[in-house]
Amino acid sequence: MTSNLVSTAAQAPQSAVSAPSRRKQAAFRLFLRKYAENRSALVGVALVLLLVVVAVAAPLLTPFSPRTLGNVPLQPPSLTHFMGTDDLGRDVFAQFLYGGRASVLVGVVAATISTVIGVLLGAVSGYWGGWIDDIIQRVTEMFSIIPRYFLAMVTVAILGANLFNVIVVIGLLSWPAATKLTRAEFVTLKTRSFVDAAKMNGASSWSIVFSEILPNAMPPIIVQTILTISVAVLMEATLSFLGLGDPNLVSWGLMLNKAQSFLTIAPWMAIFPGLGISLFILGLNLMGDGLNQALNPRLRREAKA
Amino acid sequence: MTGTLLESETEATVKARDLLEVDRLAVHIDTYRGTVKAVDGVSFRIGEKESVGIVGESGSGKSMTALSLLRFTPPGARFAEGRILFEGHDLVRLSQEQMRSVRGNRISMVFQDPMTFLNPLMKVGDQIAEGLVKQGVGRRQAREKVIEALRQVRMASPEDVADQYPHQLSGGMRQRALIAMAIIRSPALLVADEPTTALDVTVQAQIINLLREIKEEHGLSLLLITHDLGIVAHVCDRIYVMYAGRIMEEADVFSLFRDGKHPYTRGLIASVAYEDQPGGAVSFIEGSVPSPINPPAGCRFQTRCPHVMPVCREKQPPRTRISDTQAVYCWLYEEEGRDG
Amino acid sequence: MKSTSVATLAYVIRRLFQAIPLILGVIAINFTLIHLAPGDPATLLAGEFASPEAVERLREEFGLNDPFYKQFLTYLGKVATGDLGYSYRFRAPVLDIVLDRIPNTLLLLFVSFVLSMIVAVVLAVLSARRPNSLFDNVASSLAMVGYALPMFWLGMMLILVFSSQLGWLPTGGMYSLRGERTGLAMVLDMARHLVLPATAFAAYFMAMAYRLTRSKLIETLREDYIRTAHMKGLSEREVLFRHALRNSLVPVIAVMGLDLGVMVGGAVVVETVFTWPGVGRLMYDSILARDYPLLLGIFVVVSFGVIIINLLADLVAALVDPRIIYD
Repeated sequence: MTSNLVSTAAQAPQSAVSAPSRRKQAAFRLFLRKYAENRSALVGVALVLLLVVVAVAAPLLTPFSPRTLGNVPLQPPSLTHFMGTDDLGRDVFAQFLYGGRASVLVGVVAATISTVIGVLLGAVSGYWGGWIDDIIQRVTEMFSIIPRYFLAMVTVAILGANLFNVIVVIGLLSWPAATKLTRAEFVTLKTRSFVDAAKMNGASSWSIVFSEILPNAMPPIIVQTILTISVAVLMEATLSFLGLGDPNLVSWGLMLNKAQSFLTIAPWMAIFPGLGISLFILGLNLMGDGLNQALNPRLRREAKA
Repeated sequence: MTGTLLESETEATVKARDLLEVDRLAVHIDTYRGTVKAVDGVSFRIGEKESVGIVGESGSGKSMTALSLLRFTPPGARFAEGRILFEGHDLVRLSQEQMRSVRGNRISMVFQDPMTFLNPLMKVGDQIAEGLVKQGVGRRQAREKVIEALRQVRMASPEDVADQYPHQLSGGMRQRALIAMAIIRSPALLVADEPTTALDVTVQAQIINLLREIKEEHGLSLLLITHDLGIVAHVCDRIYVMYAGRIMEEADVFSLFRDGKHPYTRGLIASVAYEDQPGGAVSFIEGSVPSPINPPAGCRFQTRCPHVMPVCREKQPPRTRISDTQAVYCWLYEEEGRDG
Repeated sequence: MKSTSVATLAYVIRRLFQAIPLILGVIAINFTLIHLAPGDPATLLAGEFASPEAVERLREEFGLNDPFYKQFLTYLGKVATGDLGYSYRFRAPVLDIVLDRIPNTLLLLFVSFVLSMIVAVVLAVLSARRPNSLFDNVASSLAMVGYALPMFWLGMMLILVFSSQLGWLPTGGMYSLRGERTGLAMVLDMARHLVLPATAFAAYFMAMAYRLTRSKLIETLREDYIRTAHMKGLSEREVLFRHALRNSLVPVIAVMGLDLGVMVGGAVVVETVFTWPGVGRLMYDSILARDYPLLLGIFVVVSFGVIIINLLADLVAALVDPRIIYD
C-alpha cells in the first residue's frame, strides 16, 4: 500500500504534491499503527534501541574504562562491579558497554555494504534480465552456497585481523539475500504502469531504476537490511570469539574468547557478553519480522489466522 | 416462521423419496466486524436420481450451502439453525467420525478449480484410490477400480493417466480425474461446485455432458452449483435461485425459464441475453448486493428490485406456491394465495 | 513412465553440470586469497619459519614465476589431483589431515540434524494444527530465542550447567581418556560426549527448521487439495501426514540445503568450545598456528562437501516433487 502511494507522489505534477503527501502520511500512520499492534515487534525495537543507546552512551554509564587493570581479578558481580571483573581485574560491565559499540558499528557498516552491493546487483539483474541476469544469479547462488563462515575465517586470517578487514569481509559475504530480494521486487515492479509512464516520458533506464522502481522496493529492502545487521553481528561475534577480531577493540566475541578459560571459576565473564549478543540479535530479528508483517498485509493475515 | 413449519410438513408428504432435505439451514460466520449470515434460512430438497441446480451470483451463499452439506465450512463458521437430513441422519449433528464415513462414500464433491484441487506430489491413480484403500480394498483391486473409474469419465488411456502426476494433465483431464475420484465409491449424491468455471469453453461443454451421463449411468443424484443459467438448463431437473443467503425461487427447469416469477429470476434470465455485451449481467440488475453483515429487514432483494413495495422493507416474504413444481418468495405474489 | 526416468536423468546431469562453475569458483577464490595475502605467496604457503630452500621449492612447484593464468592452471591441476598442499605444522599433506577429521564432523552434524528435524517437525505439526494457540505461541517464541543464541555461547552455557554445576556430562572431547575403546562401552562413552555439542548445534537447526516447517505447513493446510483429501473422508491425521506434511517438507529441504553453507560454519565454534576433534576444531587450531595451507585446504574440502550435500538435497526434493524436474 505504501508503495503505491509513493509512486503516485512521484508521478504527480508539482501543483498536486500536497494531496499525495498527505495520503503518504496517512499510510505511514497506518503502518505505525499496524506495527504497534505487534507486541513482539515492539519488544524488538525496545531491545535494539536500549542496546544502541547503552553502547553509544557507554562512557556516561560507567566510571570504569574497559582496559584499566584493577586490583582484584575474577571478582563476582557486586555493587561496584555490576558484572564482576575479569582475570586482569578489569570491569566486565565497562567491557560489556564498550563491546556493544563494536557490535553496533560492525553490524551497521557491514550490513550497509551488503545492502548496497545486493541492491545494485539485484536491480541490474531484475530490471535488465537476459545474460547479465543469468551471470548475476549464478554468482549469487555461488555466494549463498559456499560455506561463508569458513571463507570469512580464511580471509581474515590471511589478510590480517583488524576492524577494517572484518567489516569489509562480512560486508562482502552477506549480500546474496539482498540481491535475491531486490531482483524479485524489480521483476514484478518493472511491469507496473508507472514504469511505462516514465518510459513514455523519456526517462532513462537508470533513472527509472533509481527514482521510479527503487523507492517502491524500499520497504522489503529495509526489512532485509535489518536482518542483515543481525547476520553481521553474529558473524563479527564469531570471528572475534575465534581470535579473528580486532585485538585492539573490546567486543562481546573477544570477551567470550577470554571467558572460555575461566568458565567454571568466573562464569560472569561468559554470561553477560553472550546475553548481549543474543538480545541484540533477538531484537533485530523481532524488529525485522514485525516490520515485514506491518508492511505485508498477506503475512499479517497469515500470522493472525 | 410459522409458514416454514407448515411448508416442511407438506413437503414430506408430497415427496416421500427425498434423498436430501435441507430445512431452514443457517450458516453464520463470526468475524470481528460482526456476524456474516452467509446462508440464512435456506430450505431445499433433492430426490433420488434427481438433478438439482442452485443458481446465484457470487456472494449469494450458494457455494457455502454446498460446502455445508459436507460440513466443509470455513473456520469461524457455525450452523446457527436448521437441519440437513440425508439418508435418515441429520448431518449437522453427526460426529466428526460419522461425518468422515459420509464424505466420499455417500456424498462426494467436485470442486471449482481442477488445477489446485489435486495434490501435485501424488500420482493421479493413488489419489483416486485413497478413499477405497481406506475402506480396506486391496491394492490390486483398488487399481482395477481406478482404471475402471477413469474409463467411466471417458479418459483416454486410463492406465497411463493413473501413473501420471497432476501437472502432466490438462485442465479438462484433471477435472475428469476429480470426477473419477468423486464417483469411485458410488456415492448417492454428487455435489458439483462451479465445476466448469476454470475451464476453457470447449472443455466446459464436455465436462457438463460428462456429469449428465455419469448421473444417468450411476443412478446418483446431482447437486450443481453455478452462476451459469445455460448449464443448469442443460443438466438440471429443478432449480433453486439464491440471492444474498436466501432462496428466492424454486421451479422445474421449464417453468423457471418460461415463466420465472421473482423479479430477481427475471433479471437473471434477461441478463443472459446481454451477457456477451460489456458489463452485461452486472448492469442489467441495478443496485448492489446488501451487506451480509446486518442485512436489511424484509426481502433481501429490496435494494435492487424494480417492483419494491413498503412491505418488502418490513417483512420477509413467505413461500408462495405457484404450482406443484414452482414456488416463489416474493410479496408480489402473496395476493394470489399463500402456500399451504 | 519411460519419459519420466529420462527426464529425471536429464535433470540430474543438468544439476551436476551446474555444480562445475561452483567448484571452479571455490578454487578461484582460494587462488585469489593466496595472491591477495600481504607479502610473498610462497612464504605464506611455507610458513613463517621455513627455510629459504623450502620457499624456493614452493615457488618452483606453484610456478610462481609464471604468468598469472598459467599459475591458476597449475593450481587447478594440483587441486584436481588431490594435492591441497603440505602442512608444516602437522608435517603431513593437507588433504590427509582434513579427510581424517571429516567423519567426526559428519557424525556431529548428522546427529544434530536428525535430532533437530524430528523435534522441529513434531513441534511444527502441533503448532500448525492450531496456529496462535498457547502451545504455538510458546513454541514460536522459543524458536525465536533459539534462533538468536550464538552456538558458541549456548555451548558454554551448557558446559556451565551440565558439566561444571551438575557434573552430568563431560566438558569436551570425544572419548574419556581412560574409557573403553571397544564395543558398546565405547559407543555409550562417545554418545555421552556427543550430547552437549549436538544440543548446542541442534538448537539453531531446530529453530530454523521449526519456523520454516510451521509457516509452510500453515500455508499448505490452506491449499485446495487438502479440501479434496477431506472430501475423500480421510482423517485429520491422514490428511496431515499424507498430504500436508510431505508437501511442506519439499521447500523446507530446499531452503535448508541452501543455508547449509552458513550452518556448517557453526561446526568451527561448537567443536572449538567442546574440543571435538573434527574439521571445525582443526580450523581453529590452524587459525592459531597460522597454518595457511591447511586453512585454505579446509575451505576447499568443506566447500566441496557443502556443494555435494546441496546437490543431494536438490535431488531429494526433485524425487519427492516431480514438478521440479520439468521446470
